[in-house]
Amino acid sequence: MNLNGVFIEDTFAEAFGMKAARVVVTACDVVWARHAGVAATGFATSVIACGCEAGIEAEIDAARTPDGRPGVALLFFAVSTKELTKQIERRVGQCILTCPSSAAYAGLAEGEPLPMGKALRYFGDGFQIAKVIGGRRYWRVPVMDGEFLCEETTPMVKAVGGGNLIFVAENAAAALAASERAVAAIRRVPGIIAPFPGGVVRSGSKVGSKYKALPASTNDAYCPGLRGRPASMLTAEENCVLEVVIDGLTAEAVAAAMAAGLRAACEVAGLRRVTAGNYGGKLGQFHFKLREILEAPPCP
Amino acid sequence: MSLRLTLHRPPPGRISLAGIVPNRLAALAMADIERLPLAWGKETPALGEFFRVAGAPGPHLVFEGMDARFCDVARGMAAGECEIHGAAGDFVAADLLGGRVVVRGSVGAFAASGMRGGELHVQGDAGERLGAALPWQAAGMRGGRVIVDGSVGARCGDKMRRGEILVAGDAGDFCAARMVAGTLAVAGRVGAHAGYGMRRGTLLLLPGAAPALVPTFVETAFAADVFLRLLRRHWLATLDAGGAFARRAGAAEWRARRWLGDLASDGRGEVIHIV
Repeated sequence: MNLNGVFIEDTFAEAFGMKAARVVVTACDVVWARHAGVAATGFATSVIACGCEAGIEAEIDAARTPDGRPGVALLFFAVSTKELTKQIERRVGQCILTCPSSAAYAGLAEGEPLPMGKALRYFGDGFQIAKVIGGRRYWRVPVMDGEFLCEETTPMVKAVGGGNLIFVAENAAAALAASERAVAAIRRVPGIIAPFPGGVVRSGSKVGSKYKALPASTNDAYCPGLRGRPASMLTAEENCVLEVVIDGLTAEAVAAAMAAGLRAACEVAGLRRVTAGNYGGKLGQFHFKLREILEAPPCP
Repeated sequence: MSLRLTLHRPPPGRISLAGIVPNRLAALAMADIERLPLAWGKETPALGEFFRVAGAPGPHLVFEGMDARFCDVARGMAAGECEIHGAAGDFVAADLLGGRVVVRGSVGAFAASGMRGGELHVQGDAGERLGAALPWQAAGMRGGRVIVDGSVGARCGDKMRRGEILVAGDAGDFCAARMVAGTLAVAGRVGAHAGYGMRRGTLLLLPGAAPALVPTFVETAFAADVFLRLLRRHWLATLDAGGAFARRAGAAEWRARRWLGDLASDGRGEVIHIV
């Protein structure tokens, strides 16, 4: 199958069940909301060593936030409830509580409640105040610029992590351009993050390593510097490979994001083919077949 | 479906309407409803002696031609809607658990006392100790929302623990006294000793005369702007825009002064005055 002359391999992305939460952060202006969001979702590219995968899902107009100030929606994904609880507490506590003028709210309507302000209130050293407004409980913690307002809990839902697209290109410029276009399209889909730097990862991995201590190691089959070896998957014209990893609140959102990214990337000259990472289909419960997701109507 | 109870004989004295609530009447036949006993001292006259019963039992109960000698109206109601045309006596919506009570008139003392959920809307005035604790109780109102379009008497919100009381008119002396938590908002003037013995909670005063607080309140920097934004948006989203309180609350942008107290008590309460 070809799309704009780009070969789409007959393969699938293998994704995994994860736990996710959305936190809405507001501040006096969008600049400070962004500062809080960037800090809270920093060092969160992969659950392999970061504890969670996180990103800024979207910026939110003041009219659509709980307190009428500009804000950002953050998504956090982890492999277990316990780990997500720990990550939310630490990241909201260290990066949002600390950010001038910020406030933090639950961003999902339903789900198992994870503690947020419930744990952070103790920073108030007894001066914290609880408030129930419209059936939702908030904590007001006195801080040096006034007050940090934080919702007591934030709902956690089952989600999907590890959707991916692998772009194989003639050169680095084409691979980067295709990835950038894909990420821009992916980020327009609600409920989605691409957690790597700029949404793009160059160090795609395979399961296992010759070193026993490592659970994952470089995807040598797609390293152009190892092209020509028997295990290489690259042809003589393929000189650069980049991957976009996608986490989403639902499988439908991941499929829509992958399709949007695929369509956008295939408009770039120099992109030769698109493939996806999988483990033979035996590990992940979600399989996103590249050719099938393209048959679905584009996301509006 | 709506059940209408129309007063056809004035009560001889204070009569309790405890238990006459939609969730209980819904399961009864009309004849059984007319035979329900009311409490009048040692006597138990039937409901039908005072009220003409019409309509069909369901989630909506209407009292027509009501008299202030009927107390305990909608007391302990758990669900449904209760509409009262005329005045009602003491303990209206006391111990309310859920549902909505609308009084198209004024109510007596101790309305919403012990309330845990639901909403009470009084279109007239409320007597003393609205949402307050009874003398032997540790806490008064514990949840839900009370809206009073008129004024309230003394000790409104005394020992209130949770929930909201929104008063469009004035409040009497000792408003929010001994308050434990929750939010009490007054759009008019408040009497003497507001917040006396307040432990926690918020007394919010909409634009008007500055409060004369007891000396054990101290003015702080205003540091509750996010909380106020949240509260105001919630009110504007959930209150009837044409209501007396909503008109006052939504009148202009809010700037405020804030006092902390009562420092002679726990001292974590706050009085916020919108200026």
